[in-house]
Amino acid sequence: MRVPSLIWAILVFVLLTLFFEVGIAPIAELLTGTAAPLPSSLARMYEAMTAVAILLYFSYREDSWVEFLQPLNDFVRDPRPSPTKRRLQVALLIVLPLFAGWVTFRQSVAVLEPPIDPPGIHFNLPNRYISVRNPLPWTEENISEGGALFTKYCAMCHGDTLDGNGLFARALQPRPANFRDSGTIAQLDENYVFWRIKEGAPGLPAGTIGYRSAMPIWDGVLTETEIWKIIMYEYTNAGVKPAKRE
Amino acid sequence: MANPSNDFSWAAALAGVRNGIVKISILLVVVYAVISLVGLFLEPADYRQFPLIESRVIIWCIAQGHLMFGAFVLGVPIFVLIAEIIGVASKSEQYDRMAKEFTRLLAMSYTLTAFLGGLLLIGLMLLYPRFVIHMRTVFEPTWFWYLAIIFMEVFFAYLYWYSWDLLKNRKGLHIFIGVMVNLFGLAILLMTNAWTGYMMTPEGVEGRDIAITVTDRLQAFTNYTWIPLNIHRFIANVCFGGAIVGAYAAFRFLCAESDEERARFDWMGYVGSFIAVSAFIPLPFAGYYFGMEIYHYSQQMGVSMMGGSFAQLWYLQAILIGALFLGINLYLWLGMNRIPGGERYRKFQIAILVVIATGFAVWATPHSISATVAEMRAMGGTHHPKLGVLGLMSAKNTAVNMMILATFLNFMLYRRGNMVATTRWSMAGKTAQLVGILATVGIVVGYGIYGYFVPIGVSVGFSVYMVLAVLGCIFLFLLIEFPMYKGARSLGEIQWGKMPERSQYVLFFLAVSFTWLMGLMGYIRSGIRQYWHVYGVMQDTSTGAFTPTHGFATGVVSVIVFVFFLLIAMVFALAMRSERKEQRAS
Repeated sequence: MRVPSLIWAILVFVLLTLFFEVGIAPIAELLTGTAAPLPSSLARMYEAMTAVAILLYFSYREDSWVEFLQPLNDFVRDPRPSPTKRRLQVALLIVLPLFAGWVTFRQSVAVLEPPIDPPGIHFNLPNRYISVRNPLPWTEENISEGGALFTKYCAMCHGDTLDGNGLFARALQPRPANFRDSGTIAQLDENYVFWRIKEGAPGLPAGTIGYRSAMPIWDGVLTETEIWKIIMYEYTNAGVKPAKRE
Repeated sequence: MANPSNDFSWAAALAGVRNGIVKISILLVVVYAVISLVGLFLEPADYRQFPLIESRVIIWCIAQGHLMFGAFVLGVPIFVLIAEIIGVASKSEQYDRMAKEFTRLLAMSYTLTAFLGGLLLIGLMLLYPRFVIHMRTVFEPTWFWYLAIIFMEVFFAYLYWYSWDLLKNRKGLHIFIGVMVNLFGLAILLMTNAWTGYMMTPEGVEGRDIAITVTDRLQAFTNYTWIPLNIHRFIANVCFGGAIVGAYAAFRFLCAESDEERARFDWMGYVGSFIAVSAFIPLPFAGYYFGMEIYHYSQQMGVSMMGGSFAQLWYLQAILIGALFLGINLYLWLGMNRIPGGERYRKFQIAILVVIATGFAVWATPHSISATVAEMRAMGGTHHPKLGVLGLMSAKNTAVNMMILATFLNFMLYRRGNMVATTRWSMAGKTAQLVGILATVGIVVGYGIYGYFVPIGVSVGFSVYMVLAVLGCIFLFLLIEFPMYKGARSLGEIQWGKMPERSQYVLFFLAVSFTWLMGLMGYIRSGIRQYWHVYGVMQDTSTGAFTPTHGFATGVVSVIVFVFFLLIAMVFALAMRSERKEQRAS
């Protein structure tokens, strides 16, 4: 007997849904050692995509679409249903709204859980620094003074050659930034670097646990002019430019 | 609006043009009068509150609505002109008729665009007077040019419409008028983008707030984001115009009373969607360029846009773009049913569907996943230990390039539908095409995987190789395809009109999705300025200077899209009524 395409569609959908709901965690555990299930937001999205792809597959030909809808049409549009079918139709009419209501209730009910501080990656520059600009010219004198300040205050961690390998570097976690790496100050605007030096790790916003380094707050120790000189020295000697207006 | 065919004389045509100019002039006078009169009764203020609705929201709605109609009236003339030229070159009545049909929609949309533009001006002058002072200081001389260009655009646009039948034997002159419509349209685009770009990436001024000195007006005009914004909006306008025209054709197809009408609008829908999709393919690359310039100007804005508070909206964008790819391919598959011989290519549909659906899933998987607290504890953060890698650019680039390649192949199969290659070397040609595709897949997937083993700065550069590989493959494929199918044996004519009704809803879906995307992306572009009117130069100190929640913002965008479609449906209905009236008269 030929299996109706609607049954095939439901079967494929159920199998893939099961995979998304319970199959991902064991695979993640096998590969990474962490049995992390798929977050429900992502699982719902994948399931919705699966449903759409299945519908698309059956709908792009007229004959397969008619065949796909046939069992549904037979059930819903039957002008003279048998008493059993009639009862089933009524049951469906009651069960479907109840099911939708239950799903809505589950989604809207408040769940009390303690907050967590998940690690983030991208930190926004605080708004108060947006229009801050380096007031000093890039003169040799300023850069040289910045070098002296860098050696006094920064080189112990960030290294004489600005590669992040200062004397204390091995004792720190996370390691001090390597300014020669194209992924650090070369990707940042000067005012961003100014913020990081001025406020240090304690000045980072919430959601940055993994990035809270030993970088101290230099505000109060260094003047703003001194910080700008250090910044100019870092860029010049790391051989990179502030990533900004071309 | 009178139809050019009913009043077949130059006097009537010039009267139509005159009426168009008078209409715009009256509108401007009314705008000026409203601003002056209302201003008399208002106390001087930096900001004023609109009753019931927040001022910012009302300006947002009007500006976005104006932009949508503006995009339509600037985008459509581009392909109207191209269609007219094709019609003349190929001596095809069909293309000429379609171009005229599109222009009919255009003529009616000008009034709505101008009306919304007038409302925007009133709104800004009355609700944000201090901001207007700033903009006037920087751009006042350009405003007069803008007015002059608007009048020229209206003049040529109305002349283009009213002279359609009068110049049917002097097509060269009519095409020249069409070129002028497009040139002035382009000038409007360049000018308004300068203002918008300045608000994001200002330069050429010194000082803050309204105490500013313009040091270089040209620099303020040609600011950092001016060029990328021009390119992005130009392509997007064509794409949007094509999608709306496709929706119009779908509307007419569903209202059609004869097979002939159905065939005509089926073809028109196909052309509209083809234009939309063709413009849609390079749009992400223009977007990358625009984004790059934003990053170059300000890291803060770039990070806010892609990795910060606006990142979740890109997730929505990804879902919509993935759905658009599915929609486009479904339309092609449904279209293949009307092509004799199309059934030969059904066997490839499942493979293409799997590539698109998988690409869609990867494309829409975010790096930072929305999760409950319990889920975050299980994952150790917002990144899934395994699926989190799908959120990186390497995976995204691979996915989108594969989707583009699969869609292109699907279109090629559609094109081959009723053709059998008769060239002797067709087997060798097809083999070469297959090798090219496999090599491209290898390059795209290879770089996608390799991207995880190199620093991010290097892997971002791989996207260029991936794009070049895909574009190169498309180019080589076509280079073989055209001579290979030259003089091909036909298995029968395409049976235009023999499309199921659901195919037309796909066209509606494309139009709504493009419009919604436009609203959403526009909000992100504007929103990343956060509480600045002019980024870093003029702060927004009004009560509405906060970034709204994503839910609220998407709600506003949805309302704007809904109202826009109500208005455009009115344009559709008027266009249909006007055409039927014309048919009865003739």
